Amino acid sequence: MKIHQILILIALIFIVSGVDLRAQAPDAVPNRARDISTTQPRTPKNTSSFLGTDLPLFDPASEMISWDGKAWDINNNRILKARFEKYLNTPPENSNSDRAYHELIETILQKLSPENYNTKSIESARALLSSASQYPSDAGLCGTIAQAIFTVSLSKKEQRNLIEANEELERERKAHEWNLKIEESRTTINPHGAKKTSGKSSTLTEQEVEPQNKAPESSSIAKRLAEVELLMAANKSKKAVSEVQSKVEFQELIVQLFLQRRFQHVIIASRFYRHIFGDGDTTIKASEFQTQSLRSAGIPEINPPSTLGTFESLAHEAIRDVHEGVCACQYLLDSNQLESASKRLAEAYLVGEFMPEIQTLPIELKQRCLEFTKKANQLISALQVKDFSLAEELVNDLKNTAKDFDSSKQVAIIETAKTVSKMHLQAAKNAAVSGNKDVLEKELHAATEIWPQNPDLKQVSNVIFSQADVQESALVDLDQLISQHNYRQIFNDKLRFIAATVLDPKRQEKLVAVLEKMEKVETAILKSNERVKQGDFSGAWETLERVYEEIPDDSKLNELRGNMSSEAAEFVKALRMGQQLEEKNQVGSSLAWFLKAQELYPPSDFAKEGISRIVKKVLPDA
Amino acid sequence: MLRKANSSVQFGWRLFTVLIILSIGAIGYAVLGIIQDPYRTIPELDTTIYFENSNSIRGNTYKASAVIQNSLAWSRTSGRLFSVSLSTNTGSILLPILVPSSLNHVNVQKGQKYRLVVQVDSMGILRVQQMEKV
Repeated sequence: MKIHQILILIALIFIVSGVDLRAQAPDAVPNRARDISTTQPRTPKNTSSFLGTDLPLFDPASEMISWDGKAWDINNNRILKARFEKYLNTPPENSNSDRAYHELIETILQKLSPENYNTKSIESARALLSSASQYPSDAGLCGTIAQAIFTVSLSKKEQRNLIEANEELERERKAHEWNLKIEESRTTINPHGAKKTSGKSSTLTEQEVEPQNKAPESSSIAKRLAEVELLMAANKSKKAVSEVQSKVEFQELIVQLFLQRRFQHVIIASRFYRHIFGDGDTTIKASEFQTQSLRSAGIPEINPPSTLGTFESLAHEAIRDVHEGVCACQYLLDSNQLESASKRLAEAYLVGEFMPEIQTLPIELKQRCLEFTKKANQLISALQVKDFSLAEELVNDLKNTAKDFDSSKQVAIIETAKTVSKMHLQAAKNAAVSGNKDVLEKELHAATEIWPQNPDLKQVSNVIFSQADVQESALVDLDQLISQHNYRQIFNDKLRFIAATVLDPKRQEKLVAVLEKMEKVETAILKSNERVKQGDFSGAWETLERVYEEIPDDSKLNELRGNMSSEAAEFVKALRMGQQLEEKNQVGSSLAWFLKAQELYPPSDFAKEGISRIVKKVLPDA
Repeated sequence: MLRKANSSVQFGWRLFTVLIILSIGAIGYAVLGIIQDPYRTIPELDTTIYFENSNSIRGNTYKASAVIQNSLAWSRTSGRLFSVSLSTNTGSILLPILVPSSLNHVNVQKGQKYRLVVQVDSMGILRVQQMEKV
């Protein structure tokens, strides 16, 4: 699992960086990366662990990668999604050219395998590199490996030249050393003049001729000797540097291929490396370039794998992992488990984007994954923008299409959001009813934040706001109608005014009084109509008149009262006369008229009351 | 033929005689009534004026013949108030009369017809001064 995580991580780093690492020379290192490596204090690293303790953490449960205080969802990264969808929409590489290329790579790997390891096989494989680099799928990487091998051969040639030069210099050094020894021995035997002891040899002759030049000649030989020794040391250094440099360059190429997830090329290059540098030293010599490249890729101060064997084994592991991922994907698709199949394929793609298994996967299988992936991505987007209606539809759709789709999290999120939103809406409604505008705004805002697309939200908002307008308008109308004593209109729109005055106790009190009056009017009208049906016009009039005394402004009442007055004219006239004369203190006449009215309509309450009043005046002690 | 003429003359005389007798009886009855009415000097109550403005005839005394309709009130000290029905040219009308306590001895009951002498008092009420059962 650890290797798998590392591979995914490397893939992520490469994809997110989005550029060739070689293009990220030190000058192109992002400022942030430089800041991380230079300005931020760092705790001591555990150099024994792979990639150090700054390794981003992958949480399999949440499928999140956490690093440097940030988290990425490997299933929800725009760049990853875009690349994966592009791959799913790409036809498989099943052309003859593609097949030939894959076969060629396999042939090269076979020729470089340990069981076929010999010089002839190696040279044959090297010759095939140029052919492989001609295919578009290779992107010229085999050619790059071939160039690296050629560069190493040039370096080795240069090293051989240096060795030969040093051998020549060694011979020269020995000659100068011999001459110097001879010169020094002659000087020691006759330090003041050799012509007195021996004088026939040419050497002696020279000494005799130029005795004053003996010391400079010795010095000249010594100087030349020193120069030769210096040249030899410089050549040795050049050779050592050239060897190391060629190794480092080749290793950098291998690391580069590994970071590009060209795992087959990693294996090819590492096997060539072992052949070219046959000294058995496969230790990775981390150069400044490697460090900068990895830092620019987001991995500061790491300890790269120590040997080429580690890279090769990681490459093998990646190839195996991709193969298994593709197999698992195919099996899961067969069993209609689209979610798992899509995830396995995405993982395999991230690691082995350029592997033959990935490149040759049939388009039909990829389309099935694409359909699921699109909907899953749409679901994620819907949840992110809190469009829970769309999210619910997508969840149901995904549940139908993928039997392994685990909708529990999404359903929980959707249901929770809906419930909370409804609660806020209900609270907003209550606040609207109670006239608490602050709470209303707060609850509406909360409901909107939780579920902006909530259809009930719009409905409730419209109701509340239209209700507010209607309420305001109704209150204005009510005030106007009360001032006009137009109680009939208030009674006709009583439901509207009742609703409008719910929040206004003062107006409510007025409205209740008006409605009580109007109820009396309506009751009187009903009674009056009943009496009219019985032919009791006087009784009908009297019923209306009784209410009229209290509510004289109702048009309907007045209209009916007028009609009844004409129908019971004599009775009404008697009562009117009685009342008028009573007001004039014409007690006798008044009583006579009331009696007349009673005679005309014996049940008359007005007549009885009038008589009673007059009687009280006439006989106070009665 | 002669017999026929005689019988028609006799019938005319007989009819004339009956009419004369009836007229004499009627005149006699009227004269007797006038002679027997003890309030013949008191004017009849003009109900029209009373209905219009009873205060305008306060203090006046009138006679009236009325039928007791209802008892409206009773006071030990002030008397009894009744509604009575008077016959007029346009029909019967109801009027209130106050039978003072001085006439408490008269048993007034509904349906009884009285010949009344009434005075319009200060409030315009017809206060009975004399009443005679008819």
